[in-house]
Amino acid sequence: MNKLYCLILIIFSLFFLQGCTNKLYHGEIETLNSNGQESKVVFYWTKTEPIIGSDKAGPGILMTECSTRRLTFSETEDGIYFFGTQGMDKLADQTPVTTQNIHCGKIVNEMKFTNIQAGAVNIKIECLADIDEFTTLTGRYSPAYIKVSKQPYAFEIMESSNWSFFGEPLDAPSQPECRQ
Amino acid sequence: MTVDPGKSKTVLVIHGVQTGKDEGQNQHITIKELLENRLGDIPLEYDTDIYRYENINDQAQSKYRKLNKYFNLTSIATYLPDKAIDLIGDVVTARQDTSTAAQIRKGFKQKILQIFENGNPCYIVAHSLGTIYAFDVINELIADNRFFDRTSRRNWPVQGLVTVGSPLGISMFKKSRTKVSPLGVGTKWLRWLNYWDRTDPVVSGAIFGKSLRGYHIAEKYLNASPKQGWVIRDIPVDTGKTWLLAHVAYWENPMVGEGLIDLMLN
Repeated sequence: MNKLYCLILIIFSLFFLQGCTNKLYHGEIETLNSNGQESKVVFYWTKTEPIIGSDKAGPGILMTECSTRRLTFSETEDGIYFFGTQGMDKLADQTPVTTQNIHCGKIVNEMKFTNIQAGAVNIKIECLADIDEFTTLTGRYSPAYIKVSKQPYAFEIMESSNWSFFGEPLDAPSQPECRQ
Repeated sequence: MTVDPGKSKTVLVIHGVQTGKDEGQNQHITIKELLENRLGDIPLEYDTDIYRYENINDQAQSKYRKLNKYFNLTSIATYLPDKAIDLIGDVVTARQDTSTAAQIRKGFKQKILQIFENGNPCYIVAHSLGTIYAFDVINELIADNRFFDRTSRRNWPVQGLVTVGSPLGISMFKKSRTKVSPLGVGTKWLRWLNYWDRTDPVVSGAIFGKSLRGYHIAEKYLNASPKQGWVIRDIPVDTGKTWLLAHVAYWENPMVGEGLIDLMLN
């Protein structure tokens, strides 16, 4: 009988140790895109806090209303950046991005997604969208994303969370509806 | 043969280590659901497809499985080693570059070229061991002079690559894959996004979470030559799950979906 209890305890422990808290962080602002159109902009990321092991989070995703682009903010050893992609982004002076590690955006007030709590997240944007023959342009939609700005955009981030045995990520926010 | 940017796009999935049969591999449906969920109101004409190779692997492993059945009399004693042969056999096949691996690569290449001949822009999504085959086949295609002219993406059989849960950073696979084929002189770029979860043991071997510091999986293939022509990004992603569950959670991850959409629309 003791062996049975022991087995049940081991199984329960294994289940329990898989458990984690899933968190979703998101915020939105209304501002201009690089075409000068008023646009809703959503920024979000997720975080997982397991019972055993380190927390993990990100990348952050920035979505602009009516834009075909989804900007990925990746965590690196030096901070959180949106890297420009050759053929897809150009610098504010219209110079195309031609190398791998060009910073086109940055979270200026934090270095790691796992450290960020609900509250202000400040994001700087330094590039605009480039196009080529494979760019999908359909009517109201274009690659134009949130406008280059010397001052960072301030997103007021909200947090929601959920605990589960096997990890149940929360639903990510949708692309803002295109109103143009 | 040229790709028409205005034609419907195809997302071609190649799965990873699996048990079971070809019929059970339907990850292209999961990817379609993910794209539908993340696209919002953006009208994008596309379809998803899959290259399955589980039956080819199973055929190659059949003699070991028969042997297993012969020695084990109880059902549970047969079942567990049978599953182990199925899983480990898949890895050994890919690692040792066997005739079975060559057959899988050939079939995958044919599938890509079929999409190319129809003029549809093709985007590859590869998982786990499937990333090894995708890496090999795309590099073979680049080495073929008929494809990947860097002045126009219209003769590219593959427009972009998304890898998830790739073991390319593990020594058994990276030893024989030391570089990517360069695209040559031109202005167009082949984009490769590699998503990895820090607690996915298949990627890093670290079950309690791999540190970012100094750890490159796909980005180790980057070099400074302007002729290389690849955009390669390792993107750490939180799948919301831990350990082995993290390895199979990429298919439903919104951030992976956003990256794929960004590739397909631009």
